Amino acid sequence: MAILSIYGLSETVATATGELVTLVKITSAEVISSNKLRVHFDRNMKNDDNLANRLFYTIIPITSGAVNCYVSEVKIPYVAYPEYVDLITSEMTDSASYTVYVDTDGPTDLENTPVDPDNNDQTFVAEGITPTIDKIIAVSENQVDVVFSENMKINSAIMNISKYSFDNGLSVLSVISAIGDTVSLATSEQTPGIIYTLTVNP
Amino acid sequence: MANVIQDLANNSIAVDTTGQFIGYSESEETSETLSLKMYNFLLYPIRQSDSTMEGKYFVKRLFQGPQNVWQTIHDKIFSIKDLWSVTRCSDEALKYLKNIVGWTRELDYITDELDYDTLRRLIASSVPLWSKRGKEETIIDIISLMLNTRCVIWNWFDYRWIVDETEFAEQHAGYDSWIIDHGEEGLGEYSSNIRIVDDGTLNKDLVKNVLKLIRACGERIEISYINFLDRFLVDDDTSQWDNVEGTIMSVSDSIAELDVSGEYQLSVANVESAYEWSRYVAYFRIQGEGDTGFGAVFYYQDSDNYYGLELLISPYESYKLFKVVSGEYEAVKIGKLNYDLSENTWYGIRIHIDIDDNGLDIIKIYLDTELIVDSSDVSDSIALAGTLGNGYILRTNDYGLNWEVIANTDESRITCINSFNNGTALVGTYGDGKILRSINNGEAWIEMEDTTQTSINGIASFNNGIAIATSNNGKIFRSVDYGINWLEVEDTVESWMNCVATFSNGVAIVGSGSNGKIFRSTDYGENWSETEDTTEEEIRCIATFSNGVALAGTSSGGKIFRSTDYGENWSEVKDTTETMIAVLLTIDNGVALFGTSAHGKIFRTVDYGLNWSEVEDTVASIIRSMAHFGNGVIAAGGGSGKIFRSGDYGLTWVEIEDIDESQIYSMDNIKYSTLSDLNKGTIGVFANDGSTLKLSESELFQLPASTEILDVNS
Repeated sequence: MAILSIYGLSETVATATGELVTLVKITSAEVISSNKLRVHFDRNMKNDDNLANRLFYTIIPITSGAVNCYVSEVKIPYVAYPEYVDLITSEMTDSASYTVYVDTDGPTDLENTPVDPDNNDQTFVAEGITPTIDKIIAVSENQVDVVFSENMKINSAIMNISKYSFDNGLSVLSVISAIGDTVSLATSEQTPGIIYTLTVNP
Repeated sequence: MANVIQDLANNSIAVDTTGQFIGYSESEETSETLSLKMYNFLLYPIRQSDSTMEGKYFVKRLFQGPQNVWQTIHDKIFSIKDLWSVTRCSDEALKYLKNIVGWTRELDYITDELDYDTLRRLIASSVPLWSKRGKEETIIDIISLMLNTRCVIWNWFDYRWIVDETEFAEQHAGYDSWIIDHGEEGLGEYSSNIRIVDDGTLNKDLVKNVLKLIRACGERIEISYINFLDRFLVDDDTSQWDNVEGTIMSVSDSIAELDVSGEYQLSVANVESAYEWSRYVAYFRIQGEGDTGFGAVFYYQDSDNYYGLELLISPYESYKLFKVVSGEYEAVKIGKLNYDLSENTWYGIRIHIDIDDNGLDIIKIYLDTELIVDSSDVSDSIALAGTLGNGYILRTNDYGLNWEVIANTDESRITCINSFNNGTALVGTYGDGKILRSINNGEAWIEMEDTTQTSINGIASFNNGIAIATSNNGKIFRSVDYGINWLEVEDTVESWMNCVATFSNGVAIVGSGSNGKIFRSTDYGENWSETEDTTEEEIRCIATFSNGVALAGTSSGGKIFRSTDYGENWSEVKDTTETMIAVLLTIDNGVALFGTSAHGKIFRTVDYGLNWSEVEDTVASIIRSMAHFGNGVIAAGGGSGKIFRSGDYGLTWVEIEDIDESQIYSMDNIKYSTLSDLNKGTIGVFANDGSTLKLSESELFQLPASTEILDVNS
């Protein structure tokens, strides 16, 4: 369908046969989880390859310090004519603002009406997952491995021994390594069988 | 944000995030405990010597080879558990692991193309398929809702259990999966079998499509269309059963029960066309309580016409195949298993009725998969004989051609032998007056009664299980249960009572051994009265025809007396001048024979005993016993342990056996009644008065079985 002319309201267009149609709007972006975003349209959409193509969806961070986000998959609900799609994304930064854009050459409604270029985005506040300590393993009398719940960013903070402290008189001598989700700490000599508590601060 | 600990999405850890651990302590690895050093088993002085410059650790190096072998074996053993882990399983063992989740060797052409990592992921992703696959209960419910019919499923695991591939030695408890012949050998074991009731209106395409939706790809299902199924899944639902004559069937907790003390209970299947069922396989899973018997019926037409199998909680009998024809009950075969049946234990009865290539009925009955009744085993070729001298019992399996001693009763004389029409044989003995019983063609004998008399001289029976025995002191004993229990019913005050014979109408006659009197009963031996005094010295033997003619032979003169009115009036028809008429045998075409002492002659009549002629002089001192096999073949036993045989209704004779005994004193053939009276009818269950019955499952399909294979491919 070719857009021939625009009458007053930008979302109304005429088709080749002169029929007036209203363009598709993105009505909301609903955060389902740290890596799942639901994009709502204002009507039933055509369940085709365009609707399922991840390249037609873009997420841009607005807040400074928010991590970039990319769409890995588009999940379409098990209905004939969906009103929304779920975007599976990389993890986003907690409390940061993002905007999701839907390409105007992408999804269409059942009449092949495209997305309105003036209503093809929605801004939302993301939910991130706070990393936690999954487990701590005493690998020798002078070393423990701290395993976080997910892969961690390797920066100066994670290598800083002042971020870590033990009770029961055990001290941190150095941060041996930080790889993936595991940080290895050199400790003073541990007493076998004693329960130690490690406190980590950001 | 650069100086905080955060994840790859810049999410920081919380303030004061904590975790705990236990201070490190040395632990010994389990594998180390088995990783023994062989070298260390050597005595310390040897190892010390080995470590010197002279030894140069030669022995230690020598042990390194076997130590390595042991280590390899040890590692292999401890890696067995990894075979079950999709992550730890070795690459080489993946080809076994994949079978468990359905990638069997038939699909090797797919999996052979995959590298190990892909195959590992395939196995992992196949697990949810099986865990989410439709359950049997679900399929049964869906089929019930959509098709309004009943069904039962035997799955792969049921078959493993039935074929004893489990390790727990469970009791099968009456389950018998082999009710349906799967045609292709072993097919049933490797597929699941859905048995669904088809009343002729079943939408079979819908059945198959429903199964395809619910079952996993690659699964093979055998669908069997059956005629009747009741697993009593709904309480109080007896809609498929008709109660006969006051029977009450109750259903609760998936069990139907017949239990009203004081009445015979019988319920039969009533679904459409049930009374027209003919060739079929019926299955019952039942248990019972009480010692009077319970079981299943088949070919049921009405309460006066049906067949059945009765189970008995008894040390003497395990089962009876019986028939009720025109209201007359008759046990056709009585048997004993190698074990005693127990109360409140599930047993599976499978009744298989078919027709052979010659158009003859085949009836096979299985109890917990053991074949216990085979109509082809019912043979008239067997006869038993008892001896004077050592109390041996001989048997022939080939119409009297060959005989062998099969039992030694340790009695001094087997005075009489009688067989019911179901293979049950009774013998009476001389010396202690005992009655012995066998239900396995004479191989094993059990003493049922010690009458404390000197001798049991005669035994005769009716087809309804009643038997009569005569003894010295003129006493008459009676059993109503095929010879298990006996009661004295008459004391005739004669000093000796010899012989007994019966008519099928309930009349019995006995001859006195102390004078020529004949006593008679018209009520199956319950009450007796004197009916004739021949004034002879002794009535030695007595026999009957089915038309009411009876014959009696005397000693001291060798006379034959004859009655034509079921033993009420008698007249003399023959005087042989022999010392004794020792045995009389009647055959129902009018032929009768008698043997004499002291010359061992055989006389024959062809007109029911009116006229007699001598046909053989065996030169034996006596012809004491005779048996007819039913086809004109007759055996006769005599003095000096000789046995003679005739193949032409007693016209000519040949001596065929001479055993080292003083006399073949008694003889009878093993008889079986026929099962050709009925050939169609429904199935049912029953409990005799005094017993209860529980039924948890019953199904039936007509032969040939209607089955088809469904491969779920998409």
